[in-house]
Amino acid sequence: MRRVLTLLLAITVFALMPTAALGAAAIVDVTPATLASLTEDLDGATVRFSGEVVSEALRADETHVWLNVSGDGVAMGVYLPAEMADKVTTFGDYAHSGDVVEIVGVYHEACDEHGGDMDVHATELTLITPGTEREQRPQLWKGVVGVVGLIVAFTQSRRPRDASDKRYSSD
Amino acid sequence: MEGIRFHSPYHHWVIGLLAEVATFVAFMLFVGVVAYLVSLIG
Amino acid sequence: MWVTLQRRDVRTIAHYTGLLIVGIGLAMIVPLVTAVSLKEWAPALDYLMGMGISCAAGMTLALLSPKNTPLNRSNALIVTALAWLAASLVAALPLALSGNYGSYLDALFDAMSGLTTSGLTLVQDLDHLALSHNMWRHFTHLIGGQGIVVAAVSIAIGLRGGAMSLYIAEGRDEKILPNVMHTTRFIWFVTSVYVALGTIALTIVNLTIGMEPVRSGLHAFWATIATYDTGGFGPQSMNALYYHSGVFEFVTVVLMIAGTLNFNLHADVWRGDRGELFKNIEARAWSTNVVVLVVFSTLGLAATRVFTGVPEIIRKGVYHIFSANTGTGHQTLYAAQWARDYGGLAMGAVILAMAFGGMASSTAGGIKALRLGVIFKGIVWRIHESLAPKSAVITERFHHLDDRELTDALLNNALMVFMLYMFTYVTGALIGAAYGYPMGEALFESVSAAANVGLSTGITNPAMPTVLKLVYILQMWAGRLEFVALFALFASFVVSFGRRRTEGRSS
Repeated sequence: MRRVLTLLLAITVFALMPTAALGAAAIVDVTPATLASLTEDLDGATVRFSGEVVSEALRADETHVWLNVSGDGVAMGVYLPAEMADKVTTFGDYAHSGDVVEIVGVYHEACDEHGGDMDVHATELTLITPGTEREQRPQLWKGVVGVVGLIVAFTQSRRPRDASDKRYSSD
Repeated sequence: MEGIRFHSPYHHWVIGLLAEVATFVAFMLFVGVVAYLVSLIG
Repeated sequence: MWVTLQRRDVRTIAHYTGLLIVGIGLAMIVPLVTAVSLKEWAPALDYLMGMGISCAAGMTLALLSPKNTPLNRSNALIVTALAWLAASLVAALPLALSGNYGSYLDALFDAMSGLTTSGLTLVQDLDHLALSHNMWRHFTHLIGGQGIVVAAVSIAIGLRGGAMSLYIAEGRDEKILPNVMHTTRFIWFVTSVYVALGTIALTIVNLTIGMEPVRSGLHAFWATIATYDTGGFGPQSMNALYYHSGVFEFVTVVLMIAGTLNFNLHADVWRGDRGELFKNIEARAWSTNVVVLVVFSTLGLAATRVFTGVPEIIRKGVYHIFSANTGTGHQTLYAAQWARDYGGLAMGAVILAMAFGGMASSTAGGIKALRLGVIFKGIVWRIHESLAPKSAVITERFHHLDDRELTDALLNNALMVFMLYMFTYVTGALIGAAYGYPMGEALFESVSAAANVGLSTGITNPAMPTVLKLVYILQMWAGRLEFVALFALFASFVVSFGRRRTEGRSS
């Protein structure tokens, strides 16, 4: 009887263990780079990461859009309902640093819904810092060098260049 | 395009272009079907 | 007998190289105009400076020899080999000024990769790169793809001087239409039709997925020239994955196939001879190659079970076989996924697809289907011969534009280039492995560079060893020239230098 009980207990413990483990690791903190580098096996796990939204929201289907969220130089596709994405107003490009957002969602190493793309299906999006303009100051010296170069090229092209020229008969 | 004068007077290059694109698409579909059949076995 | 370079030869070579450099400088008008119209003032100045330096340097070199200096065959070969390096050196200038490259070497890497239509990249923070810089990166695909030399033929030199010899040296020696002018015009004609159609199709795709009109058009144009010229650059760090669109991938594959098709085949089909597509040994070899490799990659994906179901097998398996085999190098996978998710067999299929490459007389890289077809025929020939009685004369025929007889010379040539590619692939892989990268990935990256493909397992990144950057630059350069022109360049320098030294000693 005791043996049976022990066995039952053991079975219960084993049966509960994965759930407990999952429960403890309900949300895994990651970065887009760690997701893309596959260093941890997180397929199907709920992950949390933050990053800058780049370029634009792309239409995925009737109700959802794609945001590409970049961190450490790696961008990750995030699939989310269109209205959730409305919170994002500034997208990162040459002239702007995009909104930095925190995404909580389910990570798919090869998403069956989206042709095997690696993606995150977001359940939450929080705006952390709003985007700003990136200042790009034109460096005038470059223009000066350019113009000087063009003038040199132009004057060179006006010089006489035929075979009778003395400069070509040296050898 | 004055420089492009083809030997055959009966064909316009647009037909050639369409034929080409149609062949490409047909080939892609064929390859897709092959991949599908193989995946059924694999 | 080795021909040594005389001072006059050096001047002639400098003259034509100079003209090419001026051409590259003038091509910078395109990104300059883009920058000005998009009000990107800082990059506009980068291009103004790039233009100034290239035009000045080019004109100075061009002055070393009088106009219309005749160009003989060996000098033309040297100009061709030098052209890629010289063009890359100046094309890298504005990129290096952009601030998105770690060093001038990184920018040079991208310029060489762009001009050789490879697609490996060392750019940093690509998602914040100015649109005009992206215009230039992609434009190098168009310049290099349609051939710096062909461009030179049609624009700078015209038909005078050594136009024909330049053209032959580039490896596109089969005649498409009776003369060079027609050929060049035909190449530009086919290109512009495909670029126009591709841009329109992809603009529509981009608009439907919600991109702004200007960005839609620009992205469509870039994706079109990157795929039609089998390049592989992308304006976003996620490359083709950025768009999350199966339709986008479908359209780009059509463009990749159009780009890998032999220009002679384009000419024949556009002229109305559709049968050529099916009879041609190269078309047959290429399509067989693709089908076999798709079978391998599908089996490989079935074994790893990461990508299951038809859409995934098509978009991850078939797509990458096309991308690799045509030498394009667009990818919808993260670099680390090649080794981890894609699996050995499928990755092997992709490596083979890259190594074999598309068709000759196109912008594809690698060994090329024509050579594979000829080698296959050659094997059949030898077996046939060995089984026949000694007195019998066995000939083997194949169809490439006309019916032709397989000769020892043809077979030798194909085998030699095959061997040189293999040697380069393996050498690059060994160097990569020596730096501690896993052998499989090192081989993948090396083949990708030498076959001008551009798929990457992540070895190519700004932090990679400098020597490896140089090795890949050399591989891209050698692969584009199919070795002979590059060897000719080295040989003539070595021979000339050696001769001069001995002469100096004897006098």
